[in-house]
Amino acid sequence: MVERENVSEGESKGALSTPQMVAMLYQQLRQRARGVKSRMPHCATLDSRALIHEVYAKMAGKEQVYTDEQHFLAAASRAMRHVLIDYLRQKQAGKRDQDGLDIEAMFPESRLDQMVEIDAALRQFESRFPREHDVAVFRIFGGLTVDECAEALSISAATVKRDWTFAQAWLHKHISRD
Amino acid sequence: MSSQHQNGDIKALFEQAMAMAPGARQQWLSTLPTEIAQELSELLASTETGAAFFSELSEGLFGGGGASDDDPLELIGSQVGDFYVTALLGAGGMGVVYKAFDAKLERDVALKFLAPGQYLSESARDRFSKESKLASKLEHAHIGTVYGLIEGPHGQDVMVMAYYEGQTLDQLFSHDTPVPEQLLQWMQQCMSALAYAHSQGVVHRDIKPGNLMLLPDGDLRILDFGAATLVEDGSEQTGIPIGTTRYMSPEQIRCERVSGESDYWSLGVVLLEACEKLGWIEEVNAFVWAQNPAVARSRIPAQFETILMALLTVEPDKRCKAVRALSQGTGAVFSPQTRLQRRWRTFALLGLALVIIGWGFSQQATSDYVLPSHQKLSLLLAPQGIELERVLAEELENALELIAAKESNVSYLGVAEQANTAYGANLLLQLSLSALEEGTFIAELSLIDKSNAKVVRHWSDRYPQDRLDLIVKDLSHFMGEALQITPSVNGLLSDRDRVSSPDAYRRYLSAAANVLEFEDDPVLANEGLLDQAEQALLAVNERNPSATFMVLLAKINRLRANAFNQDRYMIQADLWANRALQQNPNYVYSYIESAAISRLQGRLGSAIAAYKLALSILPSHEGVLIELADTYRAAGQSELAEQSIRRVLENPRRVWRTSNEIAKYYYRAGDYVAAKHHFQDALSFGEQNPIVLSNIGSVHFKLHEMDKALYYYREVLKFEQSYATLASLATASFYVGDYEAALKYYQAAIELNPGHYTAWATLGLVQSILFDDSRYVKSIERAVDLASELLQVYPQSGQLMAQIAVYNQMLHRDSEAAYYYQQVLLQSDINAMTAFSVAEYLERIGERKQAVDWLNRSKQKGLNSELIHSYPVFSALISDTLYQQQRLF
Repeated sequence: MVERENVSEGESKGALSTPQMVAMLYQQLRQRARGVKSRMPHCATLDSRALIHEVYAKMAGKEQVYTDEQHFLAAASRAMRHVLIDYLRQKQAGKRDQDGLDIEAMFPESRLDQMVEIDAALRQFESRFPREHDVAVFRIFGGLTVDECAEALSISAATVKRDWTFAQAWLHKHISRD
Repeated sequence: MSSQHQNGDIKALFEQAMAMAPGARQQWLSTLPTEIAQELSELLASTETGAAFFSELSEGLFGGGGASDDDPLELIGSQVGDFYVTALLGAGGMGVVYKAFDAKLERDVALKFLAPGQYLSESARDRFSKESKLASKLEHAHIGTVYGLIEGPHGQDVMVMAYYEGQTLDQLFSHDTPVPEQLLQWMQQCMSALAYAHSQGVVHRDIKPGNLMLLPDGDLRILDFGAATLVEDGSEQTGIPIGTTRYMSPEQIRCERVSGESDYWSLGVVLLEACEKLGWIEEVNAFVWAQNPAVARSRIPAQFETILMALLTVEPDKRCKAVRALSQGTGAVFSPQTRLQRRWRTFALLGLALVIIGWGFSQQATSDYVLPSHQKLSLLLAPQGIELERVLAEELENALELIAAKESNVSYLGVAEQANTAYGANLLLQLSLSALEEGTFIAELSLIDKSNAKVVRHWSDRYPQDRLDLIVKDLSHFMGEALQITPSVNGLLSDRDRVSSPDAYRRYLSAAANVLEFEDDPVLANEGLLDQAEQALLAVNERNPSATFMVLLAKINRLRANAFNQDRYMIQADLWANRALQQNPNYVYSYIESAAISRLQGRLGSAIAAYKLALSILPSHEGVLIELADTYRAAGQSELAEQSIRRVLENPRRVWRTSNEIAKYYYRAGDYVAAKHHFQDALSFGEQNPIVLSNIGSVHFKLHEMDKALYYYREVLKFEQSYATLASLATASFYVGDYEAALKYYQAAIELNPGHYTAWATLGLVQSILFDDSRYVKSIERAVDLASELLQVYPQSGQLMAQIAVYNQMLHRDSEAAYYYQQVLLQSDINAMTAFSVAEYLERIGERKQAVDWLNRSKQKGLNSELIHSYPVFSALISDTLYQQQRLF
């Protein structure tokens, strides 16, 4: 029988199976997003619930085991980045997905170009500073705290702080240059 | 750009520079090679702006920085200057305030940091430092002391202020109502403090409850003098006024030069808010009130009203005079207790209760408005509201259907997201619910005349979390009055199964929200939602048995039975539906739910009986009549089904939605000709309506009238570019052999929504037809990826497996294709097209006998045998005796 590609890897690692784990963590992530929203009722925050739905849909397709919340959040951050960039590309192409997020309602016009620029800058950054790049993605797209980044990357909080300070300066310099 | 080997260096150098004092930094940089010094100084120059940029961004995404809310700047435990940061005191738009200990002077202080995202230009910093110097010179019993300015860890400015024990007025508002005498005293203290500060040339610019500190001895101190200049410069650049919008003076909002009078306006808004808290006035915008105090029903005591009128004078010059006049007449206005005020104190204690019960509803209405003789209503609902809002919307929707069933001059047209998509409506009901932080909700309902977008009736009220039960009652009441519903129907509305305990109702609403969330997306939503809802309902129902709870319990079990196909859920669903019917035989939803449960179990007779009972309560309920017709049809009683539909058509005041619903009924029944007729009828109500146009397109599609389908879909495109429309256009074009057009539409559809595997697959198919090269491969590969992702979510889907197999076949990946076909064979639930694909596969690999079996299976599931004959793959099979023999049966 033919082996399916990219499939069986996750199951032998002994942790929870992907669907269970994802379902569990998804709930946590959603609660987290909801908590944020209820705290800032007047703030035009991006509707994290809709966004996380999207992220979940993306992640549910990947056969992967998440060993803990940090690991999951880290993966969620990456997926979040892709979801956002996807939407912004569509938006820039003058299109709007009716079934999806109304990004305009959540994001000021001026931010749109910036997001794509950030993405581009991040890609440049990655080749030179891979760890710092990861810190940046987790902070920017996943909203991970310094401590969560530290755990996800198995480095010290102080290192995360330094990486993040550097990443912000570097990225901003590369964004504003254009 | 620097070369690769400098990577580590540049970051190390950057960190080294960050550790230096700014003065030393410059000198050190000059010792480095020019290229590196250049890059480094650019990076250093980006530190603050970069940090500001990303924290703003992150705020947009997550409603807060990446840091925790307990410590947004991640400072607790660290040292800033001579101060040890110990706790977070507050965070707002303008800044973050920490409590810190001053080791030198051994006292607590408050440190105010600029909000993340608020970084200063040099000139602004100068002004801020001047201003805070002025502020630090202010000495007044009711002004918070400013000690001075220090530099923060990233070089930002930090204001050092005295730390006061106590609570801000904002905090007081969140859990208590102020006592009128004390409020009067605080107002007096504020005004004397403001007069003093203004005389010293300092304007506060951000007076709001959060900046008014109430000390344990009952005195008030205004905090944050001078802080507003922190951000003022930014406002000049962006043209956006900075401050707290709600409390801003008209001149501040217009971005005009702001002087002391502006602070008085803000104080007026604070006082107005306090009056609201005391239940003296319903919520009203300060500017609206200032122009016409009569807009809001008011019981504000004269003494307070005089102060309010002076503070909330629209013209700054006049305000200045009015406030001066006020303080000259201080004796009268701020005099201590009169008998009258003691009475108000009692009111204050009752304050909250008054707001809720006393006011009923506040209608800002144009009194001369005449309702149209035929009221065609749509419910306007923002797509992403809070969950409770959706529950209430459903209650409203039920009520509207009920009204429409009872009142011959009212029609209900369904939910729309925007006024311009509320097709056919002449009246709009807009519902909005907002949650305040302190667990209070503000509910608003407006009746809008669609022709001129004017609000003709408005109702809003504020509810604490434990009295949510009142919202639905009040909403129905308001709606009844606004729509001038006859008393008997109004009685029916309020007579629906009422729940007596507020707490029980609150828990019911939250359970209902869980169920709605599950229904939204049964696959992605966690079934835990249903478990939670069930547990809450079981608990409340035990103490307050009610048909409302029982019906929802029945529904929860029906949804489970549907999703997990287990008998025990069916039994539970039946049980609860029966209990609900016993509990309240007049509750129409008991019958509707009971019918739905019977329908799911295939007990069509019981379902019909239940729908009939529902109709005995509401004889012309459109939704129920159509469901009944549907059930009759399923039971093979088409004449009775027609009768039921005729009863819907009898309504002389039909709207397009009625015809559309009837057409959908015929469409589901497979009677496309009748469906087309009723869709056309829906179109004849006047307004062009993309929903109906699209439905007509789909009917023509089903009838294989592709040219007409194309015509209608193109009409829809004039209203909206949606994925569904573009994909339909593409498919119809494909069927008529217009591959160029199909390509164009598929590409447009994919651009709009790149996540649908079918669109990618068909795009690939079109590409393989049009082009000789291999560009189709990428599209098909994308389809495989997307479908495989989806298969993880629906691991039992034979349809998906068959699709993936077909795509692999197109890519000539035979072994993968075989694998997926084998998987399909293991599945039990297979539809006609899937069986057809499997047959095609089996025929290709030479398994003729099995192929014939699968073709028959496909035909049993309703596959059109013409399709089999049109497929060249099957030409040999069709002439095979195996197939010929089977066809006879």
